[in-house]
Amino acid sequence: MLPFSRIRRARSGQSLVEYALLLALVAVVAATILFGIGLSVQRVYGIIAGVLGAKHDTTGGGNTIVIDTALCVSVAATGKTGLWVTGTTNEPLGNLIASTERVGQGPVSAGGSGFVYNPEIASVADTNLCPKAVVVQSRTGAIAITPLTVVKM
Amino acid sequence: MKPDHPQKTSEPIQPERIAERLFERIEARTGWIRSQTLIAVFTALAISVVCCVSSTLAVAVQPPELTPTPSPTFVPLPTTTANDVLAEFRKTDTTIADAKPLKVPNATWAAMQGVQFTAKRDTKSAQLLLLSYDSDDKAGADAFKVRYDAQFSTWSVAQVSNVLLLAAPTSNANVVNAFVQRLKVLVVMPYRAYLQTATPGQ
Repeated sequence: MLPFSRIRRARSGQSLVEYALLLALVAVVAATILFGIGLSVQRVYGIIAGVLGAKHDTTGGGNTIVIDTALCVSVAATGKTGLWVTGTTNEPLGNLIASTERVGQGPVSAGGSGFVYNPEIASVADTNLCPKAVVVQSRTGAIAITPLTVVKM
Repeated sequence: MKPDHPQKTSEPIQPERIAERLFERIEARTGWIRSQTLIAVFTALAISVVCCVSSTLAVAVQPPELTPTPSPTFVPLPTTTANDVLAEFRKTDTTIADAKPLKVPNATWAAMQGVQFTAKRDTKSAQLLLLSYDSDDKAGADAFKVRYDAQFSTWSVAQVSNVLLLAAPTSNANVVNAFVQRLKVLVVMPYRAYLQTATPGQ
């Protein structure tokens, strides 16, 4: 048997081990990054689906989110445009994040039958500022997607 | 008479000699020296470990059912009227007083029915406005609009299906929450199986 010091000095074939270790490292790093961005990717695809007209209430990890009302309202009298999104869920509301393609993501609040998401979009009544779809997503993977109905008052 | 071949003696198994022969055979076949063979073995082991760990993780992360489950279909919540909801509220242990119907629709509300009343439980009370619409979209639009209304911007708003329940800022939160919960039991829970099961009238 070769002593360990001689093995360490031997250079030939060493790159194979390095490749194996590198492969393992890349796999671990990729898995970590994909897990982190998985929810973001799901949200983006959800918004795209909603903009294309899809409505989808789904379950994930035993949890459910259903959007009952999804409106973009512009009120001429007060000069405001904003969202009014309500729904029901069996998730803790702290787990939920709502987002649209125009308004950045934000938390939902408790109200009515379950949750409410009602950010103000603009201090002007303009339905052209309305986003097309809203997504309510949970950290557990449940997601609800729906197109927004535009209401002009 | 001596045998042609010396009689084999039972020698103890020596792993070092077996490994020595193995290395010699590998060297004879491939030309690899021992260190190269060792490196190849360690590499194969490392790759096997990576594959095993990856497979284990993949199996652990995968959902138990490989076949996609169909997305559940949730029916829209039913519509109701302010008068029916008020009748339901009267069944509770909270006293309903000063009930006055509102003339709607008007400049503020696009509702089909409306009633203003005071709810009293023990020493707690709440001033409430109950409005029902012909669709939940119209209720939602009014709920958004009222946030910027001079008179009602400070009132709390709860939308349940096509009904809005507004509470004056001086209202007791427990009384208001009790009514919102009652409304949910009446309109929402029978149609949303994942929520706590309940039937109207309970």
